[in-house]
Amino acid sequence: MQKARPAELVLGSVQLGLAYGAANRTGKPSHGAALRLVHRAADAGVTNFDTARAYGDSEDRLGEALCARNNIRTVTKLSPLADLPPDASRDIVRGAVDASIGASLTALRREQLNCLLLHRASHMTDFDGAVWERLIELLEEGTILSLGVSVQSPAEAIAALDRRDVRHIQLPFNLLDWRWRDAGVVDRIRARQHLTVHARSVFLQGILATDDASVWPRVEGVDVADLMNLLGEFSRRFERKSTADLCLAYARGQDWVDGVVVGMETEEQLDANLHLCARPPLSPEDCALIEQCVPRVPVQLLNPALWPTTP
Amino acid sequence: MKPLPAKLSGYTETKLIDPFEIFIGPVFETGAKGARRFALVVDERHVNMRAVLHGGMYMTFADLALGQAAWDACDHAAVVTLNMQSQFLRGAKLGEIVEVRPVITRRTRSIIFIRGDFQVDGETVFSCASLWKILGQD
Amino acid sequence: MVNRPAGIPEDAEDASIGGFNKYVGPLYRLSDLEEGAVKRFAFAAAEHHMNGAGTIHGGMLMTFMDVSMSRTSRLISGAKSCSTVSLTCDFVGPGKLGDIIESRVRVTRRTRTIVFLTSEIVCGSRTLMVGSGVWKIAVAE
Repeated sequence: MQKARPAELVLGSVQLGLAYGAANRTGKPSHGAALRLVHRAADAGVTNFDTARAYGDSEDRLGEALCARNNIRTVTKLSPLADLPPDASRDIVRGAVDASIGASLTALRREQLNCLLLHRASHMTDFDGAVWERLIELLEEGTILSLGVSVQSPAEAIAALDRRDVRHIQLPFNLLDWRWRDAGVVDRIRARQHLTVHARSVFLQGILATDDASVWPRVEGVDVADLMNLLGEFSRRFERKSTADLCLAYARGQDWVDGVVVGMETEEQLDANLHLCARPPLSPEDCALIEQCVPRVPVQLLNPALWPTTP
Repeated sequence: MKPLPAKLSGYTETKLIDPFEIFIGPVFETGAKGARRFALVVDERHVNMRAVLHGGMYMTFADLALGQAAWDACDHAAVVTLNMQSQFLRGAKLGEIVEVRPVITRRTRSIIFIRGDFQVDGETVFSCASLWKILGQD
Repeated sequence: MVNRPAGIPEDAEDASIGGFNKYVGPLYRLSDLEEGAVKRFAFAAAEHHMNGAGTIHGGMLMTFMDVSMSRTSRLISGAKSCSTVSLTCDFVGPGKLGDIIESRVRVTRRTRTIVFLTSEIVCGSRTLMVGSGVWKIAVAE
């Protein structure tokens, strides 16, 4: 599956609707500031926007800013359905799905959803398959144009990739993350037709892009200074402006990634990311060199859910 | 000359001229001009102290094979190497056969860009990208 | 004292003890420069090192750079073994039969498991080749 061009920038909008992120210090922008940010992104040529029912005001803000524009593809996610008991009846489950889809359509000011992802990969089979079954019906009737899954782990990715009706996968990926190649996920993606892959967390919640070692979680087996030294050398060697540039260039250089989801809450961040994404990505050789040189970091570092809570 | 290993049936020995290439050779080839594949059988002379193909020998084989491809591409005009970038993935073992099909990725009037993925049994063990200058084309 | 080729100092250490190094060698280690920041290696260009045009074969120069960087990686890290990850070479000028070819190697950065190096291959004041390399070193647990 050869790509025509490097992965594009996808505007991640969790920070437009909620306060979020380890390196996020600015806080959720005002309504006006959020709209300006989205308009500016669209004006600059960003065509893919990532949101979710669970991201607070995000869908509504995107909807207001983008409803009059053509050529925009919004990817949103099903509610996590946290309130549903595991033994809920089929009708209740279908109703909950419809409520989430309905709310998304209203907030986004659309008649159809370009792309709907499961926010929890387990919803593919949870509730006796009722969630996924309802989503397929909505796909077939044209309310949803494309279905997919947002995954946390290679196991979830493999389960999703087994389904022909999955046409979009979102997964966390960065230059330290060996798990996806190791588990054969990358090979499976390459073998698949009709699949869009978005990578999120390319800065690993910001820690890979910072000069501040204290932001890193204390994970056993991780020599933070050594890693930062190595990434600094690669930034220099590949003539990148920063490790943030290096991380983006690496993700965009992957032939199996179509889009890189980057969350932002200020226009300065948008401009900086647009600027970085206009530069060439890393070549396959440069990516391979990084993969050969980075140590095999523990899974505890790669999965923020496993980071030790600050003392 | 030793008989060719079974895996190299269809290959013939490449005609080598450079003393250094003869010193580390033989090298084998198959295919038509412009689409030749080259093969090296790793022997005792080629390995390092851990009995895997020495990095320098990988690069020498690359220089040879990619150079032959460059030569094919410009009707046997003289070519010189300007630059080679090599990436080492795994050491080939004694007795293994390393094969490559050089690919011309770009050419201008006086410069040729060639790369090659070197494989043992279909697994890439070494890769190389190089730039060659065609002499007399300034 | 063992004989050294003309142009190689009598006390130069043989850096090509076995394998391919020895086959294409002998290759020697010379004294350091800049208080150890530059490691030096040398060989005398013989018939078997040449190409058809009467200059030193590029493969031999690259081999020489590989050996000198490899040895340097082990020297500065104390590692028992190391392996080449990547090597980039730019060819600048030719070397001739009989030339004493020297490799001057610098470590530009090292991490716990990776060494980054550069090298200049020279003959007297003439530069033949420049390169940069990345080596993986085996660290004692």
